[in-house]
Amino acid sequence: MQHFPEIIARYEGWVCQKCNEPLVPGKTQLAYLGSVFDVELPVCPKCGMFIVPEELAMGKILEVEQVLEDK
Amino acid sequence: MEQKDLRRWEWLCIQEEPPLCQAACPIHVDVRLFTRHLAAGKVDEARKVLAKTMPLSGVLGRICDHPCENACRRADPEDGDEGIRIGSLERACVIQSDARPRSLPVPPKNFTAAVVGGGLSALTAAWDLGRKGVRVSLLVPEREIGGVLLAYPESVLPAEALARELELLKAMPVTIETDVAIDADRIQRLLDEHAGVYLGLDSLALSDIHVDLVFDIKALDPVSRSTGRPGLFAGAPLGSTPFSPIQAVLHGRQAALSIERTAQNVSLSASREKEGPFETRLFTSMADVEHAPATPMADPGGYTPEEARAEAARCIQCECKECVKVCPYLAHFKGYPKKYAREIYNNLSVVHGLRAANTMIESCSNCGLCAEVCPNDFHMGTLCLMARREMVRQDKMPASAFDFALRDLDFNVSSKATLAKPDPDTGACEWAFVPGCQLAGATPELVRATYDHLRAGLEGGVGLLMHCCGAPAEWAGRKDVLANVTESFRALWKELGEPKLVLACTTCLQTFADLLPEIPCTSLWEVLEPMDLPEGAGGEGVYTLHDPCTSRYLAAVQNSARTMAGRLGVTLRDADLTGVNTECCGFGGLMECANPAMATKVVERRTTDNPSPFLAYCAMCRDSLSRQGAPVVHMLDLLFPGLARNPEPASPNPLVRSGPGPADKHENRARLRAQLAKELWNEEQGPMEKYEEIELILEPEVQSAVDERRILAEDIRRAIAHAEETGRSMKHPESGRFLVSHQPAAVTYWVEYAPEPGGQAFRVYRAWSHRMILQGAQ
Ligand code: SF4
Ligand code: SF4
Ligand code: SF4
Ligand SMILES: [Zn+2]
Repeated sequence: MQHFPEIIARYEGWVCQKCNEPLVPGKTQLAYLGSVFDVELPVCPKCGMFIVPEELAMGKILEVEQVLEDK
Repeated sequence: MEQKDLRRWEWLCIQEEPPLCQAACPIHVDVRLFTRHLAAGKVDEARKVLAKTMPLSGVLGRICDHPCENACRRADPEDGDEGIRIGSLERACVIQSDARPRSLPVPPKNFTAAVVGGGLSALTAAWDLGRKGVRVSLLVPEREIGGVLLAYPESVLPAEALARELELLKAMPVTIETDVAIDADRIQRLLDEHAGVYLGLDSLALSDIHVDLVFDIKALDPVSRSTGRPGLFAGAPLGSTPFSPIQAVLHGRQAALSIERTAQNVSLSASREKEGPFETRLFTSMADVEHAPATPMADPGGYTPEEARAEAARCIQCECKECVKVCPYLAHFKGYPKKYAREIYNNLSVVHGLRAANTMIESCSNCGLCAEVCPNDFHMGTLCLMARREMVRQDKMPASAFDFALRDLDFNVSSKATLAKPDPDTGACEWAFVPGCQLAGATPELVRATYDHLRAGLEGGVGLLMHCCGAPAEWAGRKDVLANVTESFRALWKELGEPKLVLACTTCLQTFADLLPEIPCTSLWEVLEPMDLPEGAGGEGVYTLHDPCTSRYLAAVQNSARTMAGRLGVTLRDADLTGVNTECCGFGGLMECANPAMATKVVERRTTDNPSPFLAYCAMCRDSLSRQGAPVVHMLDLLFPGLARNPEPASPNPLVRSGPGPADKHENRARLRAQLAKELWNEEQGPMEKYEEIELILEPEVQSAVDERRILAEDIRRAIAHAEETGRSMKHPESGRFLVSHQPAAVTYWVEYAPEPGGQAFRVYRAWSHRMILQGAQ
């Protein structure tokens, strides 16, 4: 599983609107073109909704997407 | 792409052909590399280049009769000056350096050869065979080795120089006997003992041997040097013409190869066209070459190191690369089309592994400038489009490459953006104005003004046809999408009663000429040319005219644009690349979509190589060229100066503005369509969808970040509407902001926003997207 503690820390204070639960770091799965990745992201402990932070989406995740697309 | 297609593409690009000097050199010395080293002062490296091809380089380098010099590009009587003095440079080099690569020991061959003679050609044959591990008996009829070489004065060819080369020869499996009596019997015995025998006739003692052996020296085979008698070869006869050292070397070399082929029992003549001088296909432009005569020699005995360096530097390092010189995209990948064709072919053949040429294939602007400047019309754009179609077929086109453009196209052929109506006043429709997606997206108000102007000036009724021409689908390699777009355009045109079309965009013009040839099309500029100018039209000042790349072969359109500019009162200056040689603005071929950084490079080059401000007559060119801040005006801005948006009174170019981002264009088209339908044809608008009513507020920095990420206002609205409906979102109590995600199709969008106090408006703080699919948390 990939950890990005500094990025997750920036999303402190966010709460799941539906469950009214503060988000906590938790294991999530992202998939693309047949590859599955385990990533630790801010997750609602009750319903499992999670955030894909901007810093990851436009950084690491974008890189991985591009590599997978060129295969 | 079949292998034979690759071969054909490769054949077209002649960049890898040898330069004229090398092709004219009977043994094809790499003169270009030689002079490059010399010019850099690397005499030892230069010497190694000679030694790689030359036998006895210390001898031949001093005396070669250099047929290369006359062939040199610089010696061309039409646009050249004086050929590089290659002979003198070689001489200087071998005098100034003794560096020769040590020939590596090779495994011995299973046959032997005999070489008869002491002259340069016999020595060459022995050298070539010995170097390859053939055991050679070198039989010299005279006491001294050298044949004709011995006649050179010491100042030209010192005995020491020959002795040095013979040392190298002796290090090979070559046994040398001197004072050998040669007659027909002896030759017969040699033929019995060896795979082949070479007679180097540049030994005085051998001048009559052909009489004994009954062969005609004039009838020797020019390629194999065969005497006609199996296994017996001869060359370098002394005759009426002065002795040519390089011919003697060539003959010895040809014979050595023939002996090898005889031993291996393979054809003596097959594929030997490139032995000896041949015609090269290389093209080299002299356009930017500064003329300069040959470097003079202070001492007629030869160049000093400094003189040699100067003369070598005069070599222009012949190559073609005409296309690479004018195309930043081609230059970016550090090669040339022949190399790229191979890379693309390999890319298409990859089963597992990295497709290293994807970016190259996706980034070409398909503008065709390469084909225009190429001596063989190599069109990289055609090659890339073909590769794109194949990638689509193989299902290997990266989704991200053209995704945005294809979504934009989808929208532009949807009922939200298309419109086909006859003249609102008369209902007739002899003409129809086709503004094109880009003009409608960038400056909807100019579409309206132009349409009104055309209606006032043309007889027979002017309708309006808003619909994509399909070019983005063609560029994305999507034949399927293209076919649909073409069909639906054709249907609308028929519905309007097959009017003559007036097109504001040359890309549309080009596309229809290819795909809908039955439709009569004229460019807006040609139609406007004879018409009166609208009230208040006109401008002033000097502009660099930018012809769109899709107008490359539309001289009539380009001329009309120039005439219009003149009528509008502005002075034009041509760009460095203009007319048939015009450059792409960076949008063509979806370059901007697949590779924004490349498009920026293209724009940078165009706008720094030419003085501002620019005058464009394509909406996309205008927006694209201005993205680096260059002032660019559209011809329609001069026609309708009253409509210029955000005029900046302080600016010397009050009509200038940079292009709106893609999000705005999308919106602009929909709004224009709705407005025209309502105002001109009294069409009632359908009910708005819920998300469409959402009003967004974006600070300029947010807007440009969102544009750069190609997130449309529509995507943001949908995400917010989705959250407001389902209540599924994250909130940040401290700041009062919300964070939502929405995945309408392949892409997931995230938006951070806050409702503005009281009302429909939402302030957007940031938005981003990814393609990875959320699988859920555990
Ligand atoms: S112009 Fe370009 S494609 Fe054409 S031969 Fe020269 S290098 Fe090759
Ligand atoms: S300019 Fe240089 S590379 Fe070109 S033909 Fe002459 S010597 Fe050869
Ligand atoms: S961008 Fe234009 S000039 Fe450059 S390779 Fe592509 S078609 Fe040729
Ligand atoms: Zn929850």
